[in-house]
Amino acid sequence: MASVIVVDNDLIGSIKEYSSVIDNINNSNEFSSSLNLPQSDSELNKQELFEKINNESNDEKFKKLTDKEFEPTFYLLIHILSELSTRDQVLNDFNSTIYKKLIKVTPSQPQSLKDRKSIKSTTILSIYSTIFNLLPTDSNTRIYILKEILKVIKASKIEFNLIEKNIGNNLIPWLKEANCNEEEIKELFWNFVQLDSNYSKKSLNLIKNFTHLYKITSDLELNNLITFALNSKTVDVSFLINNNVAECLKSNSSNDLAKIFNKYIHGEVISESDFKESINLPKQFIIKKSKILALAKDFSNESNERLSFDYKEIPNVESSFELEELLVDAIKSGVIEGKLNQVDEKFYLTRVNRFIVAGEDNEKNWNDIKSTLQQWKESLNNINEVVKAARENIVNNSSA
Amino acid sequence: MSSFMHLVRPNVLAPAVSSQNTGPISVKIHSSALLTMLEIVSKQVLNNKRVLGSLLGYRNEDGLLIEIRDAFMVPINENGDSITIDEPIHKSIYQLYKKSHPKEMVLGWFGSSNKIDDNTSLIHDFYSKGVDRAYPHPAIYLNIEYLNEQGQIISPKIMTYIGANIGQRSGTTNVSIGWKTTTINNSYIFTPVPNEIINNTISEKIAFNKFTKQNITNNTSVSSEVSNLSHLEEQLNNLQENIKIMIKFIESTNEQDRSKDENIDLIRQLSNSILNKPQLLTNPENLTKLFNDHNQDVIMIEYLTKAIKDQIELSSRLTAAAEAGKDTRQM
Repeated sequence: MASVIVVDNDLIGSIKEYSSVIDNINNSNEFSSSLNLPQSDSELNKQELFEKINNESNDEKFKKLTDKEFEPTFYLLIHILSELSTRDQVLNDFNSTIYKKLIKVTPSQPQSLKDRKSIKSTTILSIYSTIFNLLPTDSNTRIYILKEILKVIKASKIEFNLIEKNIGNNLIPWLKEANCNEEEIKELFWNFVQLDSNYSKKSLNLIKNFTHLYKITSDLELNNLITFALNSKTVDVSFLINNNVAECLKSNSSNDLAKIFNKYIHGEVISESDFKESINLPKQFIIKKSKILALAKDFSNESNERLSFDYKEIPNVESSFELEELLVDAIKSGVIEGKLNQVDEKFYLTRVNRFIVAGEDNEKNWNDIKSTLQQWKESLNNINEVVKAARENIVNNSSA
Repeated sequence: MSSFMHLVRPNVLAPAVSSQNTGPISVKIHSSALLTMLEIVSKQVLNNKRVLGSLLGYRNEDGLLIEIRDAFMVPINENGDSITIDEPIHKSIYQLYKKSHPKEMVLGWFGSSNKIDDNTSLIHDFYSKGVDRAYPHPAIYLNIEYLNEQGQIISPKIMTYIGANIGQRSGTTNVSIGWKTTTINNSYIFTPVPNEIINNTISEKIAFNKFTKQNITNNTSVSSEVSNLSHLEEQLNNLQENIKIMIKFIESTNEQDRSKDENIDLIRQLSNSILNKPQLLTNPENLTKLFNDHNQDVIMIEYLTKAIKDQIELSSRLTAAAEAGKDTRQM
């Protein structure tokens, strides 16, 4: 069960209720008296009433309602019009007047404090989501609603994290169910992701899942992906490189952005000269991120058994102060874990991210993992025995 | 995964709801509360009559995060279109519950039905208004679909809803030829909101996992086979089994399989987390020493705690005795 409408009144009662709202806006009872309502629902001239109510319900009237009054009134209008014709005619058609009315009352820019009583963008979103839930899953009007929702969010600058989870997790299944074509799915997906001005890791994961399903077929898509990844606060974005992305990067290796991105994901330090004039990205931010990755790359190239490093052994840094700052930033970004000993100028490594990307030879990593797992399996027996012995020891000591 | 859309809380008829704090609602159901509800629903629903109860728990300040911690059944009498809720029983059980859980409140109600109808709307209205109910906050409706339309038992489907208003707000007065009438709004759009089942504590999680693992035998009694293994030992065995499966998987994959996206993700995740493992794990002597040291520390802390506790008790007894001695001398 998705959204369900339950109305306590009969249709005449609902129409009377709605006409009294319109009368209140008009400050006269002209509209309700013009309806000439009969005694029972069966005597209603549905077509005539539909026209009258539909024509009278316009954006000028709605804008006179407060935000709290608008949403229930609009739902009542949807219910009445659906009863006077069919729900398909009213909701399951993107040319329906309902959507035109809704677009006209949608705020076109972020609202100020003065607008506290006027219709809010969140109310419009709430109505769109209710209508979305009332529609059958294969209805292509759902695609239209999703597009409108993205427009509302863009215009009103509503926080992206409010909608990220629900739309992000369901967008592709919804579009597929509504028989949306691949080009439209791609367009809608990138429009949605680009609303995230914080370039969050959640969105990066959405991009990763999306590129797993759909190949990158245009420069624009590749540029969108690279720009998003480089702007993100997430330092290690190697997880984005699945087979589709790796293939695209390979075939676009001459692209300036792709060149920078290739260097970045392989843990090479990026310099200012790598940025061509046409590239509009935060240079210093990306250079700093690339230094962190280069540091992690150095650690990961060392043997798995080696866990302590002298400051002097670490390349690409000029002073111990710079190195310490870099190590702290790397720990904060989650690329490495470890402890600093400032007195002895040593760094003890606990964990480091490996740069595993698709389309490259990862045989060594597979073998390393296999041998580590085998060692781990054997050592677990030890833990079991140690715990058993300790338990017996405690019991024996306390009984003695 | 929820296939419905929920972006913001709809406009609800509740004075405590501010239009400024609009965001998506999230309902967390504690596993113990869910078990209580399932027990009620499974017992009562077999005679094919509606069963309902009250939801109890916490709600955060902006009302967007709801935590269902407990539930109890409320008797009803449904006869065709009319429905009577035994309000005194709801009130007395809630008052009793409130004594032991003063910070918790009524969040809404739960029911078991395969369709939302006029009576759902009436019950929701009951929980949305009045004292000792969800008012002044909006009520949550949790539905456990346990029987299908043919009356057959199905795997329980749990859905949570919030009731958005339709039409004029309740309490609006319509003046008609000298009579002042009040419209009562029982019309709602039940909008689904996402929910998740959570465990309150680790021990609750262990118990819940054990419960779900138990086999239900043919005579419908739950198997009570008690394992001698400690929880730690059980976890270690599970872990060893998982590692064995993983090694077997790595051995069985060829180069083509290994280049698949999902396997690249797997190797990345494993490499990032276990390649630099602590050396301690492969050195049993060191491990034994550290573990025993840790145990000694714990025993020492326990000993000291007990000693301090005894000291405080002794001190209070001595003070009391000294006070009593002083009083006797004064007399």
